[in-house]
Amino acid sequence: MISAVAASCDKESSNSPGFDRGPLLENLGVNIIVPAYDSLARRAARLEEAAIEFTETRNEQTLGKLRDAWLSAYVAFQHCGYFNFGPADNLIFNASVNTYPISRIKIDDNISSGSYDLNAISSNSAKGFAALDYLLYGENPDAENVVELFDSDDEASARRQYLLDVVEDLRARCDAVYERWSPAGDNYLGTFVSLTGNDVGSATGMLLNGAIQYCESDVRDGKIGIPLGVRSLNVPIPANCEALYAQQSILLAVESIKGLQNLYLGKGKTDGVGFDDYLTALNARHNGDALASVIASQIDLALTKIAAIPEPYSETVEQNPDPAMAAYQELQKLVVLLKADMMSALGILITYQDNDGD
Amino acid sequence: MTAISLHSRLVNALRSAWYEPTPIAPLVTFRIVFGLMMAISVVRFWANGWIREFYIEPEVHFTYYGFEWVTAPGPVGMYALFGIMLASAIGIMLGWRYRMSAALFFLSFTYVELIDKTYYLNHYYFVSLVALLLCFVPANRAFSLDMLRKPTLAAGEVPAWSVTILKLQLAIVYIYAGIAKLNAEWLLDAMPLRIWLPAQSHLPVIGGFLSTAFAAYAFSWMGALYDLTIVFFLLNARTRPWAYIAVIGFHMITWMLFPIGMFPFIMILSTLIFFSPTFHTRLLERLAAVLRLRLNTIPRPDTSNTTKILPVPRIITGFMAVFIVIQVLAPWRYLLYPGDLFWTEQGYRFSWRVMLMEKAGYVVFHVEDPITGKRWDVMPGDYLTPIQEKMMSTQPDMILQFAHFLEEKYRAEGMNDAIVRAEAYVTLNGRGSRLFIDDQVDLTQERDGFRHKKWIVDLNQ
Repeated sequence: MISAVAASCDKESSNSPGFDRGPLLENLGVNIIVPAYDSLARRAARLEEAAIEFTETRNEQTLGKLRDAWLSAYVAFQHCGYFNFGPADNLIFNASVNTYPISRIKIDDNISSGSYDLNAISSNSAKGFAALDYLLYGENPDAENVVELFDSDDEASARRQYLLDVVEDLRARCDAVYERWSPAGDNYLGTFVSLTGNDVGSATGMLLNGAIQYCESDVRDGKIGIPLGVRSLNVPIPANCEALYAQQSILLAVESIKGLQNLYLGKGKTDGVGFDDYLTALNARHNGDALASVIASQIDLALTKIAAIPEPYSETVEQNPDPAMAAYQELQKLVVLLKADMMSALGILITYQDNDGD
Repeated sequence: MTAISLHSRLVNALRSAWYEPTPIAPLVTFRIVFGLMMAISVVRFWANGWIREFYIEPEVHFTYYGFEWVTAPGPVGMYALFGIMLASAIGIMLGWRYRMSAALFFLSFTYVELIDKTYYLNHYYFVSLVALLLCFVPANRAFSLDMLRKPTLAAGEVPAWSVTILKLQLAIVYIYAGIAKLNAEWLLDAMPLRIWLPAQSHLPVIGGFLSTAFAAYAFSWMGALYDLTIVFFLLNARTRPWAYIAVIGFHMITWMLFPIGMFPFIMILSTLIFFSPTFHTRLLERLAAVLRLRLNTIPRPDTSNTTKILPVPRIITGFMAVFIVIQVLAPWRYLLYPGDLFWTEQGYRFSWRVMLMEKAGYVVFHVEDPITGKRWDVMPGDYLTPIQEKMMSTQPDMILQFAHFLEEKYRAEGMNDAIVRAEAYVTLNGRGSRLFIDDQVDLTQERDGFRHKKWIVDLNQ
């Protein structure tokens, strides 16, 4: 009798294939999104410390530390770019910390004139990580030269002030977006995990629509395709590389895909519920294989192909475009899998419009 | 039964369904609820900001083949069109300058629908058809402002065709929606409900159930059965009350589960027309009492002579016959095309295929300058709204239209004869995404039309 009850209970639990989006959102929010913003805010704070130290004690050693702190924060940002909804969307976070290419003219003018408003949208191309790339490396990245620009150049003092202002703006923005999410702050996290529906305004809907859009236009196109010239009559635009002056474009692109991978697999500090588990629970297929593993393999492949692109990317796009084109094509396949197959399998809507089923 | 008596019974049935007088009440209810639902729909559409989002902001529109002359008339024109639509819907409801209202509503609504096929919905098509029928039926001869204006209009009875044609229209919608569900994917794989229902697992109480395969099969089979049979149960007086409960239940479930807007309510209220004249007369009397209107606004039908025949202009009978024949044939036109209907969508629209497939795609256009040989990519998202991009990426005729749009764009920039190829991948009902359009074909050399589009890659290739 007891065993019969136990068996029927057992059967019931294994028979309910319903995937609860609650734990997925919980894991994405608690284990991935908030820690990613937290890490970014901490590294941005260290960047600010390093900038203050460098402006006070200007030598190659403090410059080295500042450059490391910049790269470390930039890497942290690569994991956050996908969360382009809610607080990041309201704060126009991505564009205000990572618009590139920057306008050298605007930055040079700002330094010379000393009058600028970094809060203006028009200043997006004169601040953020890319502006720091220009300030800390520039045309001649030789450390001695850069130290001189900040130390004994005619505009050295104005340049130091501009550096501090840009870093402070960046740090404040990273703080602000973290504050919005943090349970100790505005607790958008609480809102996020409560939106368990499948419409455009649900947590899954907002996150995936935002992340896939970011993957298309900021990763595939912005980091790889546009410098390669796929959008410009096949004419490469090396000046549009991310981290152009520091020549770290590929390192950042690789980090960005790792961010996507973590998001997809639900991997943060621990390995939790991710979209792969969701797709597995739905038993979604892709031409005979499990869609969950097809996407995971495609992310791996894209990662391998991007990592194989020789740095500096600004030279590769003109002299050796084949490996970059190969990476671009794998990213393209990845976008198809995410935007068509995954969104379709998850039944996530992309607009509020009435629909009678295609 | 002899052939002759069968023949004469059929003739008699047709005669009574078309020429005999019937109380006007059902028609009046239909006119009022239709006008009301349309007015609400227009206000809702407006309030959602969709006039701007769908018809003003987009840079490009996907017109229907043969209706390329229908264009969005700019912000002022668009709001004017919807203003006319709203006023004429209210006019239909109140029976005010009824024929003009019905005609204006039909024209403004249909014009807006023809601007962009992105927004095609079967229920918009239904609204256009019903609005066209309302232009002909004398639904303003009772309980209307026209009648107060011109008391001689008042009539307690109308020729039966004017009620019959609306029932026929509803029957076509339901029965064809049912026939469309009789396919292997719907019945044997429970697709696409097997994808859509588990997405609702967050719903309280029923969420867990919706995630089961059983639920998907149950909903699929019940849905097909409902669509195929509901009209017959509504026609029969004995089963009608139960059938109507089923109508309400069915449409409310679909309303809760899917974002289908006003459609459930329109169908729930439209099917009231199957109820008896007595039911409608009582309904209108109650409405009159609530609105404190004088009762003589609903003339009593003349019941003294039940066998008389009212004159129906031949042109109306002829028009209605053609109208019905076209609708009966149109859903079968897909048989003239090779390939899988859901995949190619040749002959898919205007056929009451509702909620039949989960289809998603992704398309990139490769453009080549034939003179320099340079190639580059164009992302449609740069020119289209998300909904336009989503709809285009799974529909070959829209992909072709976009390719031609690009050709024209480059021509305007001084590049003649740009070569435009589409690299499109589509996933249909849970199959993995696969190549949709022959990516070697220069789409600028292909013309739209009713011929088979050879450049659609075969589904099972």
